[in-house]
Amino acid sequence: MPDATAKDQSPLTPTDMGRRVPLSETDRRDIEQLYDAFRRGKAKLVAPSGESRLLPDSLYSFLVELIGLLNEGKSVVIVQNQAKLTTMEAASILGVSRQFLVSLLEKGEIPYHMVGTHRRMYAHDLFRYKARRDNDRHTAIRELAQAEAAEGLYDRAASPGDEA
Amino acid sequence: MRLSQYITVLDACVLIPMPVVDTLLRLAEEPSFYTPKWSPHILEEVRKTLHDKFGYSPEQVRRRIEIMECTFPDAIVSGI
Repeated sequence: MPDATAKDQSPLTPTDMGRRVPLSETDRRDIEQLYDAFRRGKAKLVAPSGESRLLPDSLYSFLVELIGLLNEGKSVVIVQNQAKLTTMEAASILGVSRQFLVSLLEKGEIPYHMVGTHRRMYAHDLFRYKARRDNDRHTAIRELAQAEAAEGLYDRAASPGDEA
Repeated sequence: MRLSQYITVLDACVLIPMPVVDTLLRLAEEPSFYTPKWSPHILEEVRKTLHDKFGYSPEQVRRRIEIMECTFPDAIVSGI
């Protein structure tokens, strides 16, 4: 990449993408207690000297959300909204092949720009597409099930002994 | 975001009974437990079986296949 400068490089390297926070049983309990404490009221940071500062509102709500997700056992990846993603990174976030991702870009489904000869897209554009896709998918599957149920088809091919 | 990518071929036998299809497709949507794949040949078998054996109308068959293809457009693979 002869044209790559420090500012062109994605802040989100593949290594960062794969970073996980494994939770031990002890951590889990700590997080649960922390979550309870956080939800009870505003949090303070206490320095080793004993000096304490209240967390700004925006940081406080971010931490409540973060701890809440960890408490539910979910893994959390922090992606800066303006991060520029490579096609590989974007494909992995969407759970599709790189080839399929490229076809989405070519159909204009996700905005992208070129950095030299490489396609890059902003994390916020990708996550907007993903949210819409996930939502459409969820709705379509539910509607199919409801339609087949309404027409008496849902259980038709399901009795034991019937084989495809 | 997915933790791992289990790629799974769904053969016609699990794409015919709607309770199984419903369950498998819901597991494949976010947070996807696995990534479903099927082939034109598999879809053809589903189409034929739903119509010939279970009395689905052509419109009902078309709806089933079309929704599967639209919801998982990356599921189709050729050459198997």
